[in-house]
Amino acid sequence: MKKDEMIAKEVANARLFQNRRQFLSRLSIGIGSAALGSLLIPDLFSGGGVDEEGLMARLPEFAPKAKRVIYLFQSGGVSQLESFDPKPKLREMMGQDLPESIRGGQRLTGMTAGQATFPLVGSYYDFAQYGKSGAWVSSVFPHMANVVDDLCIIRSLHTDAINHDPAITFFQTGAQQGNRPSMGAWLSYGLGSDNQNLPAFCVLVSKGKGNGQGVYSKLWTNGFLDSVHQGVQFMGGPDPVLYLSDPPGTDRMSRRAMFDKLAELNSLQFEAFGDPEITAKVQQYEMAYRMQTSVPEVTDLSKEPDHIVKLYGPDCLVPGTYAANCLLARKLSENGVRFVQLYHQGWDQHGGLPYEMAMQAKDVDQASAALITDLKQRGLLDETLVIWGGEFGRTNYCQGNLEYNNYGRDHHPRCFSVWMAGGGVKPGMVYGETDEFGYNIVKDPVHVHDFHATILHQLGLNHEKLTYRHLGRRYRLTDVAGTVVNDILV
Amino acid sequence: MRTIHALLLNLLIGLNVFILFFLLFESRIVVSPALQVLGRGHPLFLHFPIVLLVLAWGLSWFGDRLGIPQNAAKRFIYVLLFASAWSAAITVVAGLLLAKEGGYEGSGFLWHKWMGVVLCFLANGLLWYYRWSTERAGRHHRFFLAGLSLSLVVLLVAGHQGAGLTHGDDFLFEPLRDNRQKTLDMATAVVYQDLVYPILKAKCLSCHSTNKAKGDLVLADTASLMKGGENGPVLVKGSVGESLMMQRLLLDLDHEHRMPPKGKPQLTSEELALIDAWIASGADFNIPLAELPPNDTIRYLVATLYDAAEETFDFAAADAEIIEKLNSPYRVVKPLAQTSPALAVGYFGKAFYNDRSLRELEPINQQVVSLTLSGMPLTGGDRDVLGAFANLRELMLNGTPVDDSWSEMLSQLSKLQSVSLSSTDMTEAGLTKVLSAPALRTVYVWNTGIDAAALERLQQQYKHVRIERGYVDDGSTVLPLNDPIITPVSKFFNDKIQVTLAHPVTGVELRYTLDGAEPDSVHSMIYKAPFDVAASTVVRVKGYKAGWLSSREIKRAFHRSAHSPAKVVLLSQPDPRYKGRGAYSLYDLESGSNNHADGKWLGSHGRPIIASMHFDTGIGVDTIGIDIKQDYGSHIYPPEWVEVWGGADSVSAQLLSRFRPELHKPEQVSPTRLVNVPVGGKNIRYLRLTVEPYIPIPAGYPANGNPAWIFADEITVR
Repeated sequence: MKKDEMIAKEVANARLFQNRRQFLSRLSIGIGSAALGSLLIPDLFSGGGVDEEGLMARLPEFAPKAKRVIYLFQSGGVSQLESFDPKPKLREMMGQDLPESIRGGQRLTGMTAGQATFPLVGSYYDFAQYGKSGAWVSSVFPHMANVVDDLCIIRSLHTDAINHDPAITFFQTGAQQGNRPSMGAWLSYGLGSDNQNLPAFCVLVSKGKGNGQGVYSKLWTNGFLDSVHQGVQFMGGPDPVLYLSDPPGTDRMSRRAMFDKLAELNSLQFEAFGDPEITAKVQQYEMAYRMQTSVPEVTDLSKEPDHIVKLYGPDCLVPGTYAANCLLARKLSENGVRFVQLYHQGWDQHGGLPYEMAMQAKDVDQASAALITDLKQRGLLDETLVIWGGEFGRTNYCQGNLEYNNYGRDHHPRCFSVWMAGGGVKPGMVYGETDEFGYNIVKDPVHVHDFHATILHQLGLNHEKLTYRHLGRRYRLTDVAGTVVNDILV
Repeated sequence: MRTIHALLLNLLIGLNVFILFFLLFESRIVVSPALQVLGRGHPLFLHFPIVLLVLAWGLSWFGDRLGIPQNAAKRFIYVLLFASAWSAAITVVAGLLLAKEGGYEGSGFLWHKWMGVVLCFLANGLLWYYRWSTERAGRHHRFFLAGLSLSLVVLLVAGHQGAGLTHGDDFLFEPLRDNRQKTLDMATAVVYQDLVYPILKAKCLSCHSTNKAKGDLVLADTASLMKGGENGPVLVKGSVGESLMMQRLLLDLDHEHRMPPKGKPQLTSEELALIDAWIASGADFNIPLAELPPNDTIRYLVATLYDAAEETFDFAAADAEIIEKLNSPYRVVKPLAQTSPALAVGYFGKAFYNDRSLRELEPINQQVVSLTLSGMPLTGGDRDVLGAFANLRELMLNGTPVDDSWSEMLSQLSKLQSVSLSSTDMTEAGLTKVLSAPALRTVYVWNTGIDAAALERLQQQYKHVRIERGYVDDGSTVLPLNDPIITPVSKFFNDKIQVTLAHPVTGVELRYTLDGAEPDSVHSMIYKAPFDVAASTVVRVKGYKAGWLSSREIKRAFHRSAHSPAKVVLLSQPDPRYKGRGAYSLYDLESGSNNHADGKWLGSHGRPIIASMHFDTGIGVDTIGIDIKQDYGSHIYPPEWVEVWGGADSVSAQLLSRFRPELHKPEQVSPTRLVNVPVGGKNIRYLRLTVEPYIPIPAGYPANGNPAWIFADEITVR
């Protein structure tokens, strides 16, 4: 080995040693910096999420167009082909088989999957154009036709589910399986309540004469959110909210004393365990106490003037009907309830559609239109987003035997129509387009996630930021999808 | 000196590790106020790396030519690099802290952030490379120069994007653009001059002006526009389809006649829609925007084109503590949005409203832009307080005792855009005054005493304000009343029963009969108070009210069961799903509903229902009534046979009757029916009934061939 080389090796070795020392000292600097940095993360090792703290303000992220929502859910799946999406082609091709190229391998429900043919069937009802916007509305909705210039009809909604329960759960919670929070619960979580004397999320259920499907309390669940965000059902009857009135023999003073004592005990328990559900419980007791005054005031329909009764139809004074629920929805909304969710059952016309749908429409037509008019004349429509629609559409082909005046339609997820009104949505607009068979969307599709994103946007919330940490990840109403449909916004 | 140098070098490494750490855990980091100050130093620090790097670059490239000695240049470059790396690292840390304050997003921000980070690491990398390569020349130096130049490019990108964040996108090139006036005075704007022409000017005039006049078409003035070009007129008033201009605008982008041609700035869809709507409405060159109807398409388009930006407020935010203190369950005070100084206030629960409720808002009365007082018992004191809410945009006074004395104050609210006066005592004079409020755009006057003609007049006079009148019942809507309600629901009684009639709509006159005749509005009795029925009776009732069509007729039969048995024993087993309340169902005087699963019906499938009835004293039995349900579609039929045995006791009982009820045709079936079985027996203390279903259901009826169901809910004895 030459001397030079030896020296070089020595130097290299020395560098190596030096490097190790440097390495260690610099490593300590690195770790030190990381440790310093970790001081900036208060809960690095606590395991809790920080999402909710950001939301404690319960304020919209940006100035909202809508302050409240009234969702008139038409449970069962209203036929778009007999309501807002006229398809003359189906009348022309009455009885002919649905071309396979149109169906494009769409999976069918067990109810029609076995049918040998899929005969097309046109609407039994006639359509006409109404208003300045010239939107087409079928003859079963004469009152809605009168307010069509206030509506934004979306003909291009589509969903992932083809059966009632998954589809309605999807619409309510953004997922087909249960246990996620409902839309109203998300809004209550994101924006809180305007009127602390009423729940932020109220639910009203009515039933029409048509073939109906169940509506269960899991649809207005708080899911993994705090239980104060759960929907509260208002019933038609002497006790609109169950278990709200004091038991016989209890006066208001002793009730108050009981709540105070209970709150004391609960706060002891909270100190011991720190379970936030305990605080939620106390809050709910307090709200229930205030609701004992506010609910009778709101649910009292007897003072409505005669012309309001005429506007909604006389059934609005019969508790539990759709008309009464619409009137009640207006009153709740007027009193600051963030999200009023109505369900009207009976839109599942697998058979006898021409007869059943006319009855269903008669139940909801006048009151739905009245709600729009009534909100508008009080200056509330601009800040209230009203939504009308079901969980999916119905097929363009007939289920079972086909007669011109007696046919049925199966569930159809690929396109259906809903309308929105007020709350910063463009009035007098028809959005989206389906093909001439009314089977596929050809322009401006709106997925349920997009629909949710748009609703949240109107309330001043970014659907990507309204999150809640659960089971190790963040959840959103729109989960990992959804785009705001800006085209329909004012 | 050496120690300090080593220390600074090590700290620099630490800083870089910290940056990496920060980037990794960014979403979970919370910045304390002290560090926020550091973060806000970002705009200061960032100037150092810019200057230092440019200097280092200049010295590296041109040092020789400037005649600076090589050694001095080397040392100086090292110092410059050292300072650049340090200041870049500090700038990045500050920048990251600043970004955590929120409000920064979008691609511009992302570019700025990542380019900044890259620059920091580049500067540090260059420093280490320079230290390592400083003894070496040639290739190494060329790498160094390339790296330094690259960092300069990164610096430019990061700097430009950063400037965009501070001064707004397009800040740099803004002076080169044609800026369209984005503000519009809605009250004075003329549709053509202020809306249509600016579009033509921006998108068409570069080719169709007097200087250029392609295709002989000049759009600069209205006369030339109407004259058209070499292909004739381009505008046909009122007809979008015939207007050549519109045709060209709508051609496919690749079409050779498309306007503006491919490659030129295109019209947005709103601009197209605006021109479309203007032509369709008659292409009036002089019509002011304010004269268009409130729901005109052009108005909506204007809203999208000019008002899309959120309103910004020029007042300071109120003290958060004061806001917090003012909130109660009956008064909600909230900012419009997270970063907005503007407040919205709502009142709930009129029982909790008093003369201090509004006065307490005085400390924040400049910040309140939206106020809801609907339903509150307002007073003159509130009126004076409200007058000081100078920034109020939206005011809800529905259902309050507001009258003309408020109108002067309302007209003085200079920012007020929308006021809801529905269901108030405002009159025409008051409203006229309110309409003079300078910024007012919408007023809601439904359910006030102001008549339609006056409102029409005012709407004509104040075209820029939308006067919302709402639904007025002018008597033209005549609806049928809904059904009257007869209570109790149960139709069986022993001695007498109190019957109550009601109707959900107030003021409805209920006419009823008890003699089986159809009720009418002339002869039938008017219902005033609940009445007793002592014999089996059919109550028929209809509702009447002026302005309404009469209701449907509702009738209910009440059946007297003269003798209540002391005990009833079921001798057969009902179906386990429909066992009602056992034997008690048959004499509880409660009737079942339309739903046979409501727990009040006894059901049996293909087997008879057999029951025995025991009486304390001997009674005479004339008729036995069995209340049954009929629903042929669900296989629920009347009994085929009813057998009645009776006597003093079970041993001496004799067959009193074997009766076959009539089987109604499917189209005549009523959901419930009282089957009367003639008996004729005296001194009876024991009765046994056998109610036999059809086995099978006879031909000609739904589900024939199957065994039938029978459902019974009550047995009456007369």
